[in-house]
Amino acid sequence: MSGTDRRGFLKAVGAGVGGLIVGGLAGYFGAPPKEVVKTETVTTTVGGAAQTVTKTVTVGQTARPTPSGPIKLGSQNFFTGPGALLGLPSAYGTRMAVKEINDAGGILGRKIELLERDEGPSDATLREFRKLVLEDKIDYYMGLISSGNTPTVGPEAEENKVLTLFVDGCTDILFERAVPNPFYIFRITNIQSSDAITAAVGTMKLLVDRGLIPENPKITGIHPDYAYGRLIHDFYNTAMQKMLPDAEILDQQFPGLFKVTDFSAQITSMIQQQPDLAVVSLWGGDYVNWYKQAIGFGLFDKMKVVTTLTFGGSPQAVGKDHPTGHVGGVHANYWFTNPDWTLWPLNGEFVKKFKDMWDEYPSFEAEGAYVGGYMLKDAIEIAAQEVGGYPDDEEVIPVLETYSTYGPAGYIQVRKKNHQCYKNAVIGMTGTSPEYDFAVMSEVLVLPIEKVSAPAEYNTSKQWLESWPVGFRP
Amino acid sequence: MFIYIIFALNALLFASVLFLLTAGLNIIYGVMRIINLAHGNLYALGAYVTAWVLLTVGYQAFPGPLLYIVPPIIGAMVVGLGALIMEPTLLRPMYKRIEEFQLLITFGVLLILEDLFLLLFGPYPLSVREPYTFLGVSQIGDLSYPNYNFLVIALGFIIAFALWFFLYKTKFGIILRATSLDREMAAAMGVNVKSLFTVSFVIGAMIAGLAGGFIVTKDTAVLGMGIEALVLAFVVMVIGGLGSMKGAFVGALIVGAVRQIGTAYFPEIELAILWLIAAIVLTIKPQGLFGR
Repeated sequence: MSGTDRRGFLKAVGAGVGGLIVGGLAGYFGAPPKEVVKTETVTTTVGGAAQTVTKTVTVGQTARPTPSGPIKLGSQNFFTGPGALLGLPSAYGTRMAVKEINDAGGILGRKIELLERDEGPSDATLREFRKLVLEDKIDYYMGLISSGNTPTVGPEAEENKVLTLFVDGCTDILFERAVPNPFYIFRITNIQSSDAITAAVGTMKLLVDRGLIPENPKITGIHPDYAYGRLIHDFYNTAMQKMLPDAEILDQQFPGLFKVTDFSAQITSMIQQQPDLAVVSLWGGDYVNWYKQAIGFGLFDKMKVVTTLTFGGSPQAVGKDHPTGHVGGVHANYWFTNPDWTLWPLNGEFVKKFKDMWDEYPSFEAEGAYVGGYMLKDAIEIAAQEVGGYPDDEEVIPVLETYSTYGPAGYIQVRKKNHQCYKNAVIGMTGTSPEYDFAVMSEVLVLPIEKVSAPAEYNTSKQWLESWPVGFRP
Repeated sequence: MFIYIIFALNALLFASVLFLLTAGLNIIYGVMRIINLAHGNLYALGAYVTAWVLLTVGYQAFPGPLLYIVPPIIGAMVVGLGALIMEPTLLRPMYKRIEEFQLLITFGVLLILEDLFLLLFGPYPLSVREPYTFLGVSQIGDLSYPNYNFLVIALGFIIAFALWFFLYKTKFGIILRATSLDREMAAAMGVNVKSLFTVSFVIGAMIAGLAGGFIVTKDTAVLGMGIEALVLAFVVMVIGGLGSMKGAFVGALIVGAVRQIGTAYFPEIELAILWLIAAIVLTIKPQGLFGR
């Protein structure tokens, strides 16, 4: 399905909803503004079956004229250092969406001007965010990778009333503590508790159920010492102890994020514990260094390894020397060969376009950012039809709160309560393929997101996890 | 039992890298009385150049042992060349000024180099695997240990011995030490202090570049690596004593051992232990264990 087709499909959905609401409001308040209704037909492919969708575009006099000048979209990602393995793909996904949207005429005729800034430690990230808001006067904001940064920037975005789509920075803390009642901020990639629980359920289905580790495994681990690593450690081990009450959780390592390049001491300590399983939530350059050195120490031969982010960065970053037969994660989001390109051409075409543009395959951050760009466009356009003119943020937000669409990874929807997006979770086995000169996910396990994330009625994900009966297996 | 041998080797490995870093810093400080904040990124430059050589030329271009000798030496030479330009142009005008100027200049170079890496080598970490994996592993009981790590440990001891020999058994080394003790008297005795400063700075920088060149095969060349390394090198300097080569050696061993023990038995407070020891040394002996 081409980009035009996809937009056509989304417009059809948007125009349908918008048309109904506009029509309803018009009927309620009186005579509608004079409008010219243009209808065109496009063919799109959804779920492997060709469908004909009627696209309705409403053009007419509007109550509010579209502002002149471009839309200023602020964006922050790690452009440098070990975090760039995740940050740059996110930037690439954002840029690709922006380019496509601009090439197709922009949003309601306004081109997007992308203002990009580096993501760094929390204080520097916040400083750059404030500059974007106060000096550059951005209209909308997208980006952020680190869970250390979204809880810092989130409250600031709310205070400054900036419609914000966080691509990642997926810590549960953001919507549980930092901004418990979000209005202006949303988040695209799956929530972090789902990441940890996906890794735990993946461990069960890919290792325990196959007899590759015992039902009373000794579990060690290594995690970056900040919000992400601490939460993965907590949630993963809690989930494992719920599913396997006889599991023994050993002391785990917490090196500082991007503070350590030599992991010899940590690796040796993990081996010393003689575990059956190691859970690893290092990411970016940290993971590349760790796995390379762990091979040298024979760690992968002595235990099974389950990770949350082996395949989280640019796919080519993990070489073919990565051991096979372990469980590798993608932050519970997206691996570029899944869904199958034949069954889900939207993914195949996205991968091809991305590869053509950036000479690399898309990661989950790239997919998330790309979908985020279109989410913003769709929501503005739907809201525009509802209000009869270029919408304010306060008019776009209700649209986003009930928004759902089909992206390259499949169906994605926003939960109104916490402004968090949900899509099916992915994890798989590490392997190789003759088609690629890097390590790949050789067996992909897709878990329905409702199996690995807390239902809306729970205040926190931890409450839900703790409500699991002993022996429960999602 | 065998795990403790691995622990000891890990401590030696870490100590070796730290010694190489601190030795260069100490030579520069000892002779020139400059705390070279750019030192961390001179180490990173060696790592980047070595990785870049291996990735662009290809490891096949260096048959046999040359793979472990030529690329890191190229890295060290590029760093040496940079130091040769940096000392007379940026540092020499600062010698007669207050120390804050030197700190500002070297910190500026640290930041400029960081951006230069980004410009020249791109934002992604540079990872080379072949030299590390080709050497294979040794079996210590039922445990494996990468043979490449032995090479890095050996390099630390070789450089330590070479520096000792150079500083204590050669005429140039004696002149160097004499100049570090009394610069004016050395000049009065006919020592060309300017040249001596340049040579000292280049030697110190090249040792850092060599360390980076060797470490990059085991780790990766990544933005920020120099700054992190610099912080640890200062911990070693604080413990061992500013300007003391013996202090650098002993300090590196202490930090290497403490880090391994901390990681194995107190993983939650591993870094805190390191800084605690530095604080204790500073309190009891502010000049460091072997500082003057």
